Amino acid sequence: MTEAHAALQPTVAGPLSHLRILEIAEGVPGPFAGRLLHDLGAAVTKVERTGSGDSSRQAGPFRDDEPDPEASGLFSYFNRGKRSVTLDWTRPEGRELLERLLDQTDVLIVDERFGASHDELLALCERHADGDRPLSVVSITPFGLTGPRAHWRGSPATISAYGGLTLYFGEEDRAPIPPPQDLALTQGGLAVAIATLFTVLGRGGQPGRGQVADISIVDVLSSVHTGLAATHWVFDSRQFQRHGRRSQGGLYPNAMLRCKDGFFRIHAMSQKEWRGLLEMMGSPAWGDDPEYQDRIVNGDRYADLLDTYIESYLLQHTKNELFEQARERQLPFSPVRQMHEVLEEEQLLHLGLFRELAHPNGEQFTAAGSPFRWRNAEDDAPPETDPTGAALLRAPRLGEHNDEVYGALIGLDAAEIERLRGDDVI
Amino acid sequence: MTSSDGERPATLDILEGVRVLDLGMVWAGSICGQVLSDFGADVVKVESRSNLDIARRGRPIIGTEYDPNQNPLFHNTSRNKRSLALNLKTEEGRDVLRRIVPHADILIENWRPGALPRLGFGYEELRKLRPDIIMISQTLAGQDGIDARLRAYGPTVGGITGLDSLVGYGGEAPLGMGHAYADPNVGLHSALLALSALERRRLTGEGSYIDVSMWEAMVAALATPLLDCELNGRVAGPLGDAAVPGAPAGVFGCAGDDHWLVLEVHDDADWAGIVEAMEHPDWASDERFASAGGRLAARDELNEHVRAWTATRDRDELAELLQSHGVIASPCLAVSERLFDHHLLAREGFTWVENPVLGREPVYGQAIRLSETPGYVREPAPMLGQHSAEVLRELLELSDEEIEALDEAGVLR
Repeated sequence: MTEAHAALQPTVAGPLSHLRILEIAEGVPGPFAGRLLHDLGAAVTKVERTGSGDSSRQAGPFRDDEPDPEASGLFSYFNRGKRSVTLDWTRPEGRELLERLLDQTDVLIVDERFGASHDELLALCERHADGDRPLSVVSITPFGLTGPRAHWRGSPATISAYGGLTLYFGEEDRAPIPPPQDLALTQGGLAVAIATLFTVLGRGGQPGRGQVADISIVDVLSSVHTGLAATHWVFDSRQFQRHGRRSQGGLYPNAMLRCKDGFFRIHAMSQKEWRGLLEMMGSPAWGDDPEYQDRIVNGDRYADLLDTYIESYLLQHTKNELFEQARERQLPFSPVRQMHEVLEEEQLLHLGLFRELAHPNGEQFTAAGSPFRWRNAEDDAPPETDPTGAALLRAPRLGEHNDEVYGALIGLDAAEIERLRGDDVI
Repeated sequence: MTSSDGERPATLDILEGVRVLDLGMVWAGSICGQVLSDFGADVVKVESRSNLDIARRGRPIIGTEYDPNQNPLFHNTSRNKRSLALNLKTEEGRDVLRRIVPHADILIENWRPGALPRLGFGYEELRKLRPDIIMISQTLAGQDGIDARLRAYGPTVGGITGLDSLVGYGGEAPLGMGHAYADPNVGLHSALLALSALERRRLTGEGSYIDVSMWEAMVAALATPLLDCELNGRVAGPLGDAAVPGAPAGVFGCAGDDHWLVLEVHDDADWAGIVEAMEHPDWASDERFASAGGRLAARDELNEHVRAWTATRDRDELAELLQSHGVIASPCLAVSERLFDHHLLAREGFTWVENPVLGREPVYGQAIRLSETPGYVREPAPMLGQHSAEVLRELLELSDEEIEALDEAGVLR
C-alpha cells in the first residue's frame, strides 16, 4: 500500500493534490481538463492507445514542421505534468487492467473514442462505488451521450456551427466563418474540469456514490456563449448575426476599426466611454450633434457613418499611440495584436505568463502557464506567479510510466509487465 | 431531472448551504456565480444603482428605453440569484456588507484592482470578518504592472490577445471576433477555481485568495496559433474556410435564407460516404480523388462540386443524409433554430421561466449534466433590489423598521 501511494503522487502541490484522475481522451477538450486539474494539484494519468497514443502527438505544430510524436506543440502544451500509460482497453486483458486502475481513481475522463454509452458509464461507477475512491466518470463528446444527435460525428467546425457561434463571424452578405479551431474545444474542457469538481464535492467528503457527467461541447457553446440571444429573439425577433467588424450587442460604438498600422478595437459599453472616445479624438464638432448621443440609436441608424468619422481619426495614429491615449483616459479600447506581439506583450511578461516548457523529448520551448495566482489563507504572502512554480513539468513520453503505474500502483511484477508489453496490451 | 418549469427536483443540491456574495460585473463576473447558483449555492448579487452592473445597462430586451430589469445578459447569467441593492459609497452600506461577510463562503468580484480594498473589502479585511472565506478576484491582468489597471471588456480582450487577428476570410484583412469570447472563458475558469477552493477548504478548513486574469486565460486558450508562432515564428492570419480541415471541406450555402452547412471529408471512408450521399456523380470517379492526398491537392475543385450540390438542397436534410453516411456535417444554427431544435430540447438546452416584467421567457440551460445531482434553473433573474429586505432579515435579523430606516437613508439602492 505504501508503495502504491508513492506511485501516483501528485506532480505539483495544490488544492486538489488528493485527487487521482484517469484520462482516456485525446486532442484538446479532455486533455485540457486534465491539464487544468493538474495545475490545481491533481495526479493525472493519461491512458493512451497502444501504438500511436493520443492523436495530438501527430498533430503538431512541430518545430520546422518536422513531425515527432514526442515533440508536438499541441500535445506538449495540453498534457504537461501528466503521467502516461499505454493500454489496449478493447481487449479483455486490457479491460481487466483498466478496471484495476479504476479502483485507484477518483474521476475518469473519457471522450467519444472510449465509445461507452451513458448506461455503461453508470454501470462503471456502480462497479467502483466501494472503497476510498468511489468512481465518477465525466464524458466529453461533441453532441453528448443522449438526444437525437448523440451519434453524430463532430469536429471543432461543426460543433461551433451547431452551437451557434459560426453565424456570428463574417460579413452579412457573405458566408459565415468558422472560428479558430481550439476555441470551441477549450470551452468543453473547462466544463469537464468543473464537472469533475462537482462529482468530487457531491461526495460530501463521505464515501458515497459516484456519478456520470455528460458534457456536450455543443451544449456548452449553445448556453454560456450564445444562449442569451434566445431571450432577445423571443421578444423582438432580433437575431445575433454577423456584422463584419462590428460586435454583438446592438450598442454603438463597438467595432474593430482601421488605424495607421493595423486595427484598433473600440468598445463603449457606457455613455461615459462614448463621451471619452469623443474627447480622445479632440472633441470633433459632430460629436455634439444631438443625433449621436444615444448608443442604441447610433447602433440602429448611424453605425456606418460613425465608423467613417471615427476611422478618419484612427487612421492618423498607430495602434500603440491609440492604446496610450486610451490608457490615459481609462477607456476600454485595445490594439488588435498579432501572435508575435502577444508573445512580447509587456504586461504578460511582467506576470510571467510565458514559461519554459520541455517537449517529451526534452527540447525546450516557450508556452503559456496558468492564468491565475493562488494564495492559501495560511500563507504569509501572495505567490508572485502561478502555483505551478517556475518550471512547468513536461508532458510524458508515450507509455513513460507503465512500470511505475502497473508495477507500484496495481502490483504487477516485472515479468508480467514484460509479457503484456510483448502481447501489445500495454 | 430538471423540469422545464423551473421546479425543484427531489435531489440533493451539491452546493446547498454555500453562500456566495456576487460582486461580479458585466458578463465575466456573472457567469461564475451563475454556475454555482445552478448547483444550489445561495448566490446574493450585491449591486447598486449608484454603480450599476453594465449587464443591467445594455440594450433592453424590448424596445430602446434603458431599463435595469430588462437585459438578456442579466436575465441569463443572474437566474437563481438574489439581489441585494446596497450602496457601498455610503458608510452604512459598507457597514451592512461588513456584517454580511461572516455569513458568506465565497466572494466573487471583478472590480478594478485596488477598488474593493479602498472600500475596506480587500482579502485581508475579509478574512478578519470570516477567516475561511474564499475570495475570487477576476482581473484583466493581475494586480500590478503597466496594464493591470487598464479597463477592458470581452471584445477588448479579443484585440489584445490577438484573437481578433485570426478571424476573417482567407487572404483578407481580419474582421475580428465580434463576440466577447473572453468573458465566458474566464467565467468558467473562475467557477473551477471557486470549486477547487471549496474542496480544499473541506479538507483543510482554510480559505484562499485567487486572482484569475481574463487576458492570460484567453491567451492560454489560443493554443495552436500561438504555439506555431513560438515554434516556427509564423504569424497566423485569418484562415476563413481553410480553418475547416479535409477535402472537400468548408462552409457551403444551401437553399433558403442564410442557410449554411459545414462538412468535412478526411479519410477514404468519409469520401465513400459523401460520394454515396451524392449518388455517385461522374466527376467523383476521377482517380485524382481516390486518395486523401489527391483530394487535398484538388480541394478547391472538389468544393466547387459540393457547392453546386448543396446550393439547391435543404440544409438540415443534407446534414442528416451526410451523417447517416458517416460524414462530419452540421447546419450553422441561429438562436431561433436552436431554441426549438429537437436535440437541444432533449438535452434541456433552454428553460422557460416566469419573469415579473416580461412573462415567460427562455434562458439557457445548464450544460454540465450530472446523473445524480443535476444543476437547474429555479428562478428568473431578480429585479434590482428584489431581495434586499429578505436577505437583511434572514442574515442580519434586522427588523422591518431598521430596514426601512436604511432604505430611507438611501443605503438600499
